Amino acid sequence: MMNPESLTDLLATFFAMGGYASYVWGSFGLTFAIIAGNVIAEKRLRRHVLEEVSQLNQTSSKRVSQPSLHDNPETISGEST
Amino acid sequence: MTLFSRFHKFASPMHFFDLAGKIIPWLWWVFVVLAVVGLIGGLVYAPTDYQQGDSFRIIYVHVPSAWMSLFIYMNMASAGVVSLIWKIKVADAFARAAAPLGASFTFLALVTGSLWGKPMWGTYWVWDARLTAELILLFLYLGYIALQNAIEDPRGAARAGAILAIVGTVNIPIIHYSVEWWNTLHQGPTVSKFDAPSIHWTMLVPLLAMTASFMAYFGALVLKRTQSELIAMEPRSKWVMERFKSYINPTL
Repeated sequence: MMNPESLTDLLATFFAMGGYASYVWGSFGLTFAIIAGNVIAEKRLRRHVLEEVSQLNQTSSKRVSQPSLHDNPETISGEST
Repeated sequence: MTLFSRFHKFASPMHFFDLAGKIIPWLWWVFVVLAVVGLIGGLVYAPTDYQQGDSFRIIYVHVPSAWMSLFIYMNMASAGVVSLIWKIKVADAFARAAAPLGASFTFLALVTGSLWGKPMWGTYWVWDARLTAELILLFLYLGYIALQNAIEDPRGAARAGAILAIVGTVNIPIIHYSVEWWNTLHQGPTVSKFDAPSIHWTMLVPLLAMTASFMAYFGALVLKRTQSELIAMEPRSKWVMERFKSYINPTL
């Protein structure tokens, strides 16, 4: 059985990283930030590309089968009935 | 189906898009599972290094990042060769998609190395052969990205990028062998000496898990980005229309 004090000690030792806490956690934190940042950047790229696709295909009169889209651009964002 | 026609099918943007869509979810799972294994193994189970104390744990993000920086560059250069010889759009899209990911892993390798260098060498940076060559790699990636943004014509951008990527590969063996060719502050290879491995398996397994998880992460993101690049290359094509109807005409 582990008493609460020793568990706290164990966690404190873990986070202290033998005195190298700022270097170790700094490295892992930055890695996490970059990994998350690339995921966000990918989502932004996809959104940007799809916005361009939707704009291109609206301005091209041949491709758009329903001219009513031009009258009501708000339907582009989805959620139409 | 002959091998040749398979190759052509794979090279078609539409088929690549669909195939990538099937693979991506699996790669995310591999990434998450191996990252958990690698993090717990590296931060908790691996014993403290007898020379470097707990600062050695930076290896679990530093070394995989550095390997990825080289691996992604070789991927880009290979895509460049394919692009120049066969003029395949998917190869151009792939190289464009890979560049920012390669740049971010190179940046990560440099900064985590610097955070490891401070407590071990007493300095964040030295103009040592390996560090300098890795910095040049970052500039190659940034140069590639700048070139893509500067050239309007997609074919021209792809050609220029492919040539830059291929020429830049001279830097890759320099990075790899720098610790053997020159007397540097950077420590020598630990893992690649398979005849006499100088790392205990409890330290090695998390390192391999982290590397594999980074690979899966890169795979998932580069495929997703390649898909986006392909959409951007053929915005009016039938296959894009079919797959993104709701974006084009939500009333349909």
